[in-house]
Amino acid sequence: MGRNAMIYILLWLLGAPLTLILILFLLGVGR
Amino acid sequence: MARVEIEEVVAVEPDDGFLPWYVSWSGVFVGALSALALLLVFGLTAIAVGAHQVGQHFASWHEFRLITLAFSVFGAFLSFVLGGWAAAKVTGTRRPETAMLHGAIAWLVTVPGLLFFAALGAGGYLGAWYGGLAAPPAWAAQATPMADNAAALLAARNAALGSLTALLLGLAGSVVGGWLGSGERMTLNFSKIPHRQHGRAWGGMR
Repeated sequence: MGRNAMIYILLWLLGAPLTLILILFLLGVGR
Repeated sequence: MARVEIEEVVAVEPDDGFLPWYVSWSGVFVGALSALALLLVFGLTAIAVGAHQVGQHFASWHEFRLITLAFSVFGAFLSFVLGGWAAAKVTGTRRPETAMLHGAIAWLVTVPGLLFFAALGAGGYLGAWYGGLAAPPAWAAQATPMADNAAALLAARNAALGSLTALLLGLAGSVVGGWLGSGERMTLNFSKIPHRQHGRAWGGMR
């Protein structure tokens, strides 16, 4: 863990999952 | 009688060799169990108030009522916020990065558990979305083949999407919970003490 670990944690563990959910629902995967 | 005492201290630079990152499994398991427990509380409450019916399959998201959605989203998120918070608190770290990673590890531990309980048929008690984690058991012959009708296929896709949403919301929740549990200000622009100096893996006093 370096100095910028916070950014990577937030990006991959918080941003990426929420973005994936958003993209899936915006693409209209669920009908 | 002569007594010789030799004391040797080896200092390892973090860049030179291995420096393990200590994971507090006590914290991780307490977090994982508390997340599962609160998930069960939310799920059973949803069933009790009629927001969700056990074994219900959604052929369309239009059948997904608002109260069901609310219970599913808040149940999945808040349970893992508690899980991440508990993991961080029991770990005892005040470093947000370590706390958030412990929260995420607590989430990781719950994933096989969720799959297991869903396979046992208890997925429906955890919330409307976790039933989709279970496949029809291979040893049970199906009376009506599922793949025959398009509605069942669509229901399976919706169940997969729901389970994925619930899992990812849980991951985000556990990270937020770990951040909360670290007790640090939840802003990005405060100066951090350089990590892993003076041989301290846990952060130490401030």
